[in-house]
Amino acid sequence: MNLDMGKNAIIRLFNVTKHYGEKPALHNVSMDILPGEFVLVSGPSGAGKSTLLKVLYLAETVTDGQILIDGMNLSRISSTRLPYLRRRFGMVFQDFKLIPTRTVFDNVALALEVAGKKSGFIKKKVMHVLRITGMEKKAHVLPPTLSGGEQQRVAVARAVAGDPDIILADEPTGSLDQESARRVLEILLAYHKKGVTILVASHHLRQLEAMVTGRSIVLEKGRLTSATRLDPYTL
Amino acid sequence: MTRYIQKALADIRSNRFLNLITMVTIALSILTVSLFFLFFENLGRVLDGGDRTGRAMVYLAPEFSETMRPEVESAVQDMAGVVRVTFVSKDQALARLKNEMAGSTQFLDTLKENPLPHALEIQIQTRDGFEQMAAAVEQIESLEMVESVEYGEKWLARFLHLFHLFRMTGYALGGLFLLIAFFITASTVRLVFYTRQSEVEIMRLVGATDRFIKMPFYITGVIQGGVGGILGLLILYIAYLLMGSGVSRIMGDLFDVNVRFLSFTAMGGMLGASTFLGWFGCYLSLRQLLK
Repeated sequence: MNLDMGKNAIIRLFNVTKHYGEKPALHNVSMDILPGEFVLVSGPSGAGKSTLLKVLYLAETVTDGQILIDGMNLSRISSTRLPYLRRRFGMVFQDFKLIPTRTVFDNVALALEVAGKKSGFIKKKVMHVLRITGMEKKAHVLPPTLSGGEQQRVAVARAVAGDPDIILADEPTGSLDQESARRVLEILLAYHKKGVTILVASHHLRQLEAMVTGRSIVLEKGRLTSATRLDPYTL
Repeated sequence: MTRYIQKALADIRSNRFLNLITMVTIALSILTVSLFFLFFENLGRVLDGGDRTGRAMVYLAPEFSETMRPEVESAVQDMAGVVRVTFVSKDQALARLKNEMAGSTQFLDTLKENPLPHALEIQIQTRDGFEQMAAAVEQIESLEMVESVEYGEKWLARFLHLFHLFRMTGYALGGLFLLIAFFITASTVRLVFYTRQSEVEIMRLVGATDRFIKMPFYITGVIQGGVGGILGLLILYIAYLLMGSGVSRIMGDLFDVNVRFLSFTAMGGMLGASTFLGWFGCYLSLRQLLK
């Protein structure tokens, strides 16, 4: 790990280990991620990709090691401060995690309501991100009536609505067709260009590698086995 | 806060049946407890006496003669709480008896001598309760020339004992009903929470604080308790209007007292209790669920 790079890193992992019972999901993972960097996390099933993302937003706690998010040590964060940490992230999941009884508008607005934003601001902001994701005409429908691609675009809209510093996407295109996957990735890349740090755990290597300038890391059995630069122009 | 209230109302609308059950349960509990209060408040006013007085008969000793009358009357009149003293001579007493037993007085006509004693009919102040009457009677009994005093004390003592027992039972039953309402409210919150568990999980993932998650539930609990309380009191008031006049007539004939509905303080207390109940059920349930 490059210590000089670490001084400016927005995410730092120091020998992070996570066990589920006897089984190690992550083993001694150390890495630094710079602000505005795009990191593709790949590896076979069970490699620890999702676990890596989960320990970053504290859906899981590490068994050993330390994680710093913008200098904040996650092991020292209290339960009352946790919501404020999570607002710095925008999260996209393979199963979308939309509230089926709330409209598209309300699902996206949730990210702003929890932050205490005023109604007028919420309305403007939500419609803005829905326009970016191409979902403004579906603002008042319920998620179950949408296709998988549309639901994921709503999830991305919710993830970016709060202007997060970091977007974590766990298999964002896992259950989508190629065209829908491409649209979702384009939205993520647009935000990457604005300077948002993005981590994507995905199997869809080829599609992403062809679109992204960033870094690719490979996990195998919980261990970081390789890290390479991604540059679509050299492919 | 507006947002929380809107969310709470939306939650109530989306779980109408469940919330209705809870409100009706609270309403029935408040109705039962208020009914007990209404009964005891009014019966308490009967026993307290209000401005009323109690009657007693002071039977004078056989050696009493009419020359002693001013002294004895004065001694009794001076007793604390005695409002009025009326002398009933043995002849007047016999005449009253013949009047009351009209049609069956043949045996009285055969009497050679009037067996009835002279008596004083007294009225004693009972503003501080019938215990005040008992105290006054005890003092009068100690006077010379007083043979005995009768005022239905055995019946009254038994009644008071039963009343206190009934009141304790009423309070216990009322408390039980409130406890039942509390548990039902807590169970409703749990049920609603379980149906919304995935929603709560998503809210946490996007950075919702515990307060953001809990507040709509608390407000729902307050609304359930408040509406339940109002409903219970309303049902009681309608029952009071429908049946109150009949009961008032009986109470008026027996005890010279009007049946009144619960005071504003009592109603406020009931409403406060039901609202608190609704909120507290939520609070305890969520404390455990959101650990």
